[in-house]
Amino acid sequence: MRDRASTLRTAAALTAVVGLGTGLGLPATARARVQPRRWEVTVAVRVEGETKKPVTVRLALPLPESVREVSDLEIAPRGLSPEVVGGGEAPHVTFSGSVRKPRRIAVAYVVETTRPSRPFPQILPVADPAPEIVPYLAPARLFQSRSILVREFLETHVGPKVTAGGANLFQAILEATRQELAWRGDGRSLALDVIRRRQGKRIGIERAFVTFLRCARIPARFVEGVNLASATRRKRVFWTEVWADGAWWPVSASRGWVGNLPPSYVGLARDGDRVVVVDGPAAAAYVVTAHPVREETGDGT
Amino acid sequence: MIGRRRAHRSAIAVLGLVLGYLPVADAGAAPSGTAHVVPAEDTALALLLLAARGSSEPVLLFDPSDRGGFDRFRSEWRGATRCIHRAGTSAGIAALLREVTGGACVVVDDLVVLARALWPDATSAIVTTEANYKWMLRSAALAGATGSALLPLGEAGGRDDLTMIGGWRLGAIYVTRPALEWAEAARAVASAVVELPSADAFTTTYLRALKSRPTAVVITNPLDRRSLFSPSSLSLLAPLVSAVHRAPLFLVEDAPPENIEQATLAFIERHALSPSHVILVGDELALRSHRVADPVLAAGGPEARGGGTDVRVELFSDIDRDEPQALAVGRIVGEGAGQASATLARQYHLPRGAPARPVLFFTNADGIFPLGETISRTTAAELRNVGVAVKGYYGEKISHALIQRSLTATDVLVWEGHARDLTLEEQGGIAAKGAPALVVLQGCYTFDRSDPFILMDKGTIAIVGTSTAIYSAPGSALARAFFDALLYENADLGTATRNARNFLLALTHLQRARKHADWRKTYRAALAFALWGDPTLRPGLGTVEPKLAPMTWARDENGLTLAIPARGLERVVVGPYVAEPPPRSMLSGLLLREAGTERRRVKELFFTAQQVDDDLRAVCAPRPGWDVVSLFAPRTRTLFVLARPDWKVMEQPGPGGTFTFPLAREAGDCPPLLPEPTT
Repeated sequence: MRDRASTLRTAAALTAVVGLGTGLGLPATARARVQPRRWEVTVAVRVEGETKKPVTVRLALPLPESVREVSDLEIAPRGLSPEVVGGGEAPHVTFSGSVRKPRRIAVAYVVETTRPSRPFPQILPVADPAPEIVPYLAPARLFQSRSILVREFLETHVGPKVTAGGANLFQAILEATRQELAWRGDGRSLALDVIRRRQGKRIGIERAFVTFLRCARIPARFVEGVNLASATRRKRVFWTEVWADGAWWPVSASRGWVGNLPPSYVGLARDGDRVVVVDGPAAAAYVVTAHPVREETGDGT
Repeated sequence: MIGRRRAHRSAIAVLGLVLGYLPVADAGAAPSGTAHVVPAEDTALALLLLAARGSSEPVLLFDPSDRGGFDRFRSEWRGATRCIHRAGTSAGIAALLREVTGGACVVVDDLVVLARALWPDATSAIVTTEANYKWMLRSAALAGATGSALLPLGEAGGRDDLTMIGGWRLGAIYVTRPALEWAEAARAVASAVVELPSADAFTTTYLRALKSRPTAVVITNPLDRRSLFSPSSLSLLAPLVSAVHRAPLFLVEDAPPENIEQATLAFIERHALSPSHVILVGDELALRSHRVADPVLAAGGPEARGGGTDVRVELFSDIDRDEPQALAVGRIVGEGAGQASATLARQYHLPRGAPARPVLFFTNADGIFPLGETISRTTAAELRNVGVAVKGYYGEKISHALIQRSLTATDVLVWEGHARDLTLEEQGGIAAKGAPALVVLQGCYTFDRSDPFILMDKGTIAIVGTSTAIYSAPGSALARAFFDALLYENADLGTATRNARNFLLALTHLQRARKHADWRKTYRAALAFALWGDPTLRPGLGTVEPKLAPMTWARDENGLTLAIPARGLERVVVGPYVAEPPPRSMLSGLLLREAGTERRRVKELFFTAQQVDDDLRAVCAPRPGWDVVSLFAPRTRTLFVLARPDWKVMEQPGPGGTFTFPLAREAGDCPPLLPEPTT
């Protein structure tokens, strides 16, 4: 069904771009379960418009990470003009044109996760951040790190553990987030709402965690991605990245893992950016399908 | 140590020359209107400067991790700036101080020596120990308010410190509890020595030295420096606030809000004080507000948007006990002492004339609150009626870019509607270059966001905001009542906030009496609003005589006389709602359906706050057709009255007329109302 005639093959170029990461590392600990590391992924976007006015659909590609390689990029633009923007921190494809009737555009690629080379480091507050790190300590609309609610939460649930018990600040924040903010599928998704209600969806818990870390002067950013092993349509999954030793490290307060980003997780957008952005008179919804290319056996059993 | 201190004696004059604090040292004197910059971490040095100079010149506490407010103040300050730190200050901080002030810093080593330079003409002094923070705060408050020199003794100080002040003609020395062992030494250098062995003895002496009756009490928590995430250390500024207001300083510790209130009220009773204002110096972690279960949710209503299940209610509100708030309350807040010192310096020392720039209203940006917008538009009309320029933006005209531009284009900004981040960029980062002095954030949970602290960094002095979700009608009603007090009563911010909250409380009582199911929504709004800023501040809106005569209340021997003009403000229509209230009347969610149309008229109400000196604490209806709520606050002897007319019962076509409301001891003492005679 794919429009093979207009498919662009830019795998080599894209691999070069998205493969340049910042040293993301997984712990040496092996996972016990069998974890496919090579996946064929298709992101299909249904675009609905009714006018001749130009529309641009921006679809995120996997975020650049040193442990991940993206190859075999194929694009099915269905009459729209595609452009691959592979550089920078947010690689993506834009589709431009008019959409007078619904159409289904798609991007397919193969993603492969390699093993990290460095162990998860100690995460500490940053006293004198480099300019490029400052934004990840600052408040943002989704991360109200200068809120009195945030400080109250930390003061109440983290402060005593750190001052009296000598706990590591990062660990104490992670524990408090997991203990105090309960997961609920129908819960809240904005950080302050989650903190007030003491429960939220995973996205909300992760946002709250990022907010806490920033308040505690630990650089943190929020990642939205896909869990390729998930059976849901969009396979959405969220985690946090924290800064230490000159690199970003993955951690999830909503799921409870530190450092060992599952090989089926692929980051697509950060800090509130969207996976699909439509500019113009049209609406879009996306579906992700993924198949393991080759099963691997875990090396920890 | 002793030898070193004696050696310093000869250096006093040199130090004075360098500092410019000695009157003989004109050549090196700091020019009048010098801003003094001190490391925030050096509490003793900071308190010395705040006590000596803070009332007359800016004293900025420099914290390298909390520089926003400092940088903003520096960009506005046109006078000289000098930094001062001790020899033991870390090289990094010292270098930063030199960098931010653009010159060499004065380095001091002995605070008693410095005190002599700071208070060359003092006739009295107060002695305490540098290590005792609580007594440093008290002593700094007394020094700041009375001009007494503050003498903080160091670890090895004492007799030798005091011998250094020989030749300084001091008539009296106050010796505080931690320094009592040096009282004898003090007697050698002063004709009168007053020992202050307790906090109460201190306050008694303080009040005697003031020679005036304080109208405010300042409350702070000296333990606010211990927190890990909120070491706001705002207590450091409490002596300055106390000195500026000539108000006694009361220290509380980490405690539930009820205990803080009880202890403060006991302090007020013990010292026979009758304050009208309470100034809290500390954030809601150091001086905890009440947590009250959301009354709407508790009664089985919907959960508040945003997930809140309780309401943070400001200290000394009384409203959480269903009583009218008696005292005007405001909170000096900041993320740290550095930010708050810049806010206070801006309030006390930067010129603020009557605002020539229009007051900005941003209302109903989401376009979903027509009733709130109706009330808000009448508030803007009320400002215009007394000559205050207003620019109002409504609905989709409000854009992110407009908000950004407007933050530097006004001195008073009113936001009414769903809360939005005024200061943050779409994807993070701070967009605001400046901010108005007064900001009203009439929306849900506006105190919970980052905005208030960023606004303060950028120049805001006072914010009226909320701790929970607010329905649009009571929210806009509160804003209208708030501006009514500012415009027509020249009320300060604390009194205007108090009166506006009490209006909502009275409205709650009225709604209950009239069997309105939604009274809890009004009550929640009454609970949730508060003032962050100095409650005695008057924004000075530059009003003139009203174009249209407002309604008036007058007290005479017959009671309270309400005169309602027949002509209303310009008619406002938003969606199905219409309002055309007489000037100064209050509005709310009480509506009347206009016969034969889908229009709903926002019902006019009449509210007043009156001082009463007798036992007449209740107001009676003047005639059938009036619903009257009277709330009496005994502590300040203030009577709050809300009256709702029913013109149909009175057989009047609409508002207008003069009505005398009899006064009574209790509502039950009101005479029975007889039906109007029919002709």
